[in-house]
Amino acid sequence: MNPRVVSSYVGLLLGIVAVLMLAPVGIAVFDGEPRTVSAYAFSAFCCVALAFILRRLGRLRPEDEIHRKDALGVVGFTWLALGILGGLPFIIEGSIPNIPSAIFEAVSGFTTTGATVVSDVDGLSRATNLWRCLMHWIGGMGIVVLFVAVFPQLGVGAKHLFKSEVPGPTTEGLRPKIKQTATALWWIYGSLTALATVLLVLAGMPLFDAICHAMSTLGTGGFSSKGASVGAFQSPTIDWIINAFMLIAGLNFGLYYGLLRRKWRTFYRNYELRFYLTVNLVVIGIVAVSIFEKHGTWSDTIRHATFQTLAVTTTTGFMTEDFDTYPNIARFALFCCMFMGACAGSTAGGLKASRVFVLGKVVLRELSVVVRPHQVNAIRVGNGTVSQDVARGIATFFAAYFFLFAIASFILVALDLDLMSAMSATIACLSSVGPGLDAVGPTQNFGFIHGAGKAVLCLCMIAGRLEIFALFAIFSARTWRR
Amino acid sequence: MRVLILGAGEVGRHLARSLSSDANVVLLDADAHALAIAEDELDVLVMEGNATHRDALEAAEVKGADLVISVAGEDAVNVAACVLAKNLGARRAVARVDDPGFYRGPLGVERGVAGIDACVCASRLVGVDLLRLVNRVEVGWTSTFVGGAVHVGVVEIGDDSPVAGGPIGRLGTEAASITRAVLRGDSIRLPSEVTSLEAGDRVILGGPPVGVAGVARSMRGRGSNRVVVVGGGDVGLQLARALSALTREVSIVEESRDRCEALASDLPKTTILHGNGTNLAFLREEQIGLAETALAVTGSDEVNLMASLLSNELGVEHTFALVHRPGYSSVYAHLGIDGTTSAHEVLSSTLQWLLPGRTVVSSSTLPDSDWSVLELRVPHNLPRQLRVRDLSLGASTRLLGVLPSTDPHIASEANPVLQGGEHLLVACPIRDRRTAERGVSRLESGTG
Repeated sequence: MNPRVVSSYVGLLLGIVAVLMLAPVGIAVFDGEPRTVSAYAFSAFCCVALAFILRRLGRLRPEDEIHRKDALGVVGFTWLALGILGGLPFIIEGSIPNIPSAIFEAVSGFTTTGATVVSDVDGLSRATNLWRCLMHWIGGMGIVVLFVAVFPQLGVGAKHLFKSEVPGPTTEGLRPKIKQTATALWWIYGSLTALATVLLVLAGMPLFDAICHAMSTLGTGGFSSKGASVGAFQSPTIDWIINAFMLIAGLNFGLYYGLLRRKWRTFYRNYELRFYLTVNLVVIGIVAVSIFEKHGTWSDTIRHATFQTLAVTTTTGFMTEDFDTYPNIARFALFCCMFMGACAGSTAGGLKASRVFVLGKVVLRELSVVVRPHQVNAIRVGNGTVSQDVARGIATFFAAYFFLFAIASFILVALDLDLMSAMSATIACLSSVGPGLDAVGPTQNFGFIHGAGKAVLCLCMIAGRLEIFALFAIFSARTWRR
Repeated sequence: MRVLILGAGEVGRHLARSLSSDANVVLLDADAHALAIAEDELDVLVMEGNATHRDALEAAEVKGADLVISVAGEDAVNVAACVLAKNLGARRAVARVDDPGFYRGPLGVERGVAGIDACVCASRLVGVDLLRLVNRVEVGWTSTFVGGAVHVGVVEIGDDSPVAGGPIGRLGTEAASITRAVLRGDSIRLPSEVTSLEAGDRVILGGPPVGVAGVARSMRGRGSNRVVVVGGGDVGLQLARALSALTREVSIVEESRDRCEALASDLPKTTILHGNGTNLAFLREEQIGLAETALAVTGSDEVNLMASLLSNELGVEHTFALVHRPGYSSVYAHLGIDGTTSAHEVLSSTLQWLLPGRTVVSSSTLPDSDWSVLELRVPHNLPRQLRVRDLSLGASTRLLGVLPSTDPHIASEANPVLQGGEHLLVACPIRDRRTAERGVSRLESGTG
């Protein structure tokens, strides 16, 4: 890893964060909240100052290129810095005075987790609510992807940066150049967010809330400007609009690019999409049947079952009612869905549907090998096959995911959390869902967890967002060896 | 511009790298491993698929692609892929066909075969490029135009030159037809404006590589020399043919006995030596050290490197080598080898020449002068019948020759009628470059 390159580019990326902080500054000025204005303005200034120092330290030379190691370093350090700088305004403003809690909130924002430490969301300033949702929105498609899209030619270095941030077993290029791919993705993402905002306003949501919820939905975040989340609006239309956009955000954005180019077949023939929809339908069915008694009518039952299921499978983490009060079968089905998450190439977290599907196929193949050891089977998915290397990579990722889950849960249990709360908190952070079960359920918050526990969960959130290896690479001595 | 490259081997990747700054490049190959390497080092879109499968070509959006280049390992695949690509709506297609028997001419580029815009032969093109390097020894300075078919060289007339003090025609009609202009002091004069050459004049020659070298040699009054070529493959064969036309003493060292016999029957004027170009005892016995120039052109980088180093060691003045792996050239230069060429580099420069769009196809600055030589492409659709003098190329710009689009030779009329698609070779002061370029590019928009 070349420290000059890493430092320079991290500096540039923090410059973007500073620019983004001007949005809450603007709204705080509009609302006439001097303390909030100074909190965000000072935080933006800190970002600029740090960016300046890093750029000065970096002093990029013309021959410096971004290699794979450097890209991992840039992405890893940027995400670590995002948490600290993103939490700064909360501390200064006094909305979240506790430092670990503020950092937790910011990391939860940028990683689109949506786990909050705030017990009184309705008491937050509008600027803070906007900042929380803006963090989701930027983190959803990725700040590095945004950087690649707006920064002039970085060549193949941009590709390394892009791949280090974008989740998914295979990163499909949409356009010949990675800058064009990044731009196309941001355009699609931005347009869908605008569309969601308009629809929510038309459905009767106030403009500010509509903007916040649209950003939070498309980023599959989960922060809401209301304490009771989407449930606060008590509107079936709003529920269904958010349902639709949660699903949209949970699918591969590359497919939308295909749709724009009229490649309908690639859309409906996509195996991951089909598998993901099937899983959702099954879970919605289980949840609906189990909660029918509570609602009495099928329309309400289906609406709530769909909302809660999609909120979990797309790792958004909104709620219209507390799914922790559902019967155990529904709770367990949703808990299992937290592991899978949504599709690769989406803004959602989790293991990803395609990985789960391929792993299922690998298990089936191994079973058939037990019966007929001489038979050779390819791992077929969709119209193609998955190579042994890819399958091995997926299995490794699974193992790493579960190790991390086990270790983090163990630490939380050691910090005196009960078993279910610890496990669900870990997976809710690792898969960027947000709310867990029991003590960290949808109506609870993460504020009570010990500082060390919050640190572990912060690492889980970033590791989950960057698909584990990108984060831990920066802690490896080999990455630093030149 | 959208470019589809079929084949992600060394050549395909090199082309993708050289084109990716100007064009949106898609690289298609059936080999996932080659694609993984390309994906890692290039900012291009890679796609897995077979170049001769229509589905794969369609998925790679061949329809409307500005250029399809097929550089897979097999000639037949490249031809088939290009024919399919053209059929499916590609605007231009270029196939790499390495079998020399495919070509009717000696150049290594043939246009319009089976509807393919150009077929290019890497071995022929590297042969031509090696000739350029050899010419550089002879002429002092050379540059290539028309994708390597035309060499331009500058020869300084010394006091002892047989042409000093006499007319250009003294050396025969070939010398007269290849002499494009004379650089006297700071001004350029056309041959018709020069009655006799003076010592200190610099003669600009332009024509086929062998012709330029031959005329340069006679202008400097130098006798024949010895050249040894290590490797008797197609490149060696072509080189020996071209070099023996310069009445030099050419030897080929080839390891395969059968190939030696075939070469001996093909090249009656050339000495064919059966032996290993890296065997020091053999090279000593054959007195390779007496040669002025050695060219190592076998299929192996290791052999070429060793043969060049040993030739240097034995006293050969100039050594040149064919390099197969891109990136090795700097190592050769580091070890004292005078020049290298490679299939990747010549293919990519030839493609630059074939690419549409630019007015200045290639350019070079003449040594120690304020003049540059430009190859300008005349647009295909001309607004009306025009002569070269109708173009406003700048007051000082001189026309060195016109290169018809069909046949790469230089026509030297003073004021010919322009044909769409032909290239103009002009000399202009460096500061007037833009003027000359605009003079031709204006025709495209119809304002000329």
